[in-house]
Amino acid sequence: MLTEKDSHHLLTQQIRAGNQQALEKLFLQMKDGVFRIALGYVRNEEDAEEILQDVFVEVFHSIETFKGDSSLRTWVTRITINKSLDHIKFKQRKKRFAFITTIFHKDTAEVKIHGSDFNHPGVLMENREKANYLFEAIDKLPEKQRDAFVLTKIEQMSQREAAEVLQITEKALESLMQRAKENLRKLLSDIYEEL
Amino acid sequence: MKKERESWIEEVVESAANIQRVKADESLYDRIQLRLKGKVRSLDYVSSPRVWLVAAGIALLLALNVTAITYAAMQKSGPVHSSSLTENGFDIYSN
Repeated sequence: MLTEKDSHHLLTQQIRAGNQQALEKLFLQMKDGVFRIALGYVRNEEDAEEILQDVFVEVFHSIETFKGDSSLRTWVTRITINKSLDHIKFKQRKKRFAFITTIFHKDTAEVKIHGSDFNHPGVLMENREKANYLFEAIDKLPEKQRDAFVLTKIEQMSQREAAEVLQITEKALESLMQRAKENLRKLLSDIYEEL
Repeated sequence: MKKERESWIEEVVESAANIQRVKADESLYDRIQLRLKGKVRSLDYVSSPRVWLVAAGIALLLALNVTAITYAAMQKSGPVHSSSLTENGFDIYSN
């Protein structure tokens, strides 16, 4: 029986050789984690599915650059975070463009700006409102604190795994999480005042 | 009031724990395969520097146009050349 490390080493070599079946194996092993992390950033099923595809296309094309310094799972998680952030920037640009079009066509673009993108399949109806406020606050956190919170609290990664993905020590992750929670409370307090 | 707010904040923070661990659809791999074969294009994420470069180019073009139009307008409304007086029939020396 192969360990995950050995199995990933073998898959890496096969993907490097252009073996798409190996990529499919890796996809089946990692798709759920990648999907959930993407959902943690974009909170929209369709967008997370798009990111999931981007990630595995990137894995296939960039496997040559994977040196093996970290685990394959860590490397794929970093790609997921980068692709999620790219996707958010892309959507923000689209929204800015929609804002410009409102100047010229008031009827067409208004819906896109004010319409909610929140469509997280893991959030139950009764939890939706609170989760929406939580994600609104998460979005306002500094980047590193947001990444730490998404990985540990949303994807429920272990401290060791999350620290490896973020390339920091477990101690640094702990203090990052401490600050993230403090900031979240402040941000949620402001949201509460506005309700 | 403060107690109410604190308990609301606590509930919202804790709502992260109630998020279900959803699974991705296996059939998404078919779409990845199509993309690898080049049959479906991905969303094009244009890099921010590129967007700013294009925006700067457009701004430069606009600035050049405005300068050219302003310069042309100034030329038209500037001091009248003596030859234009004669062309317009204000030649006081001719009889």
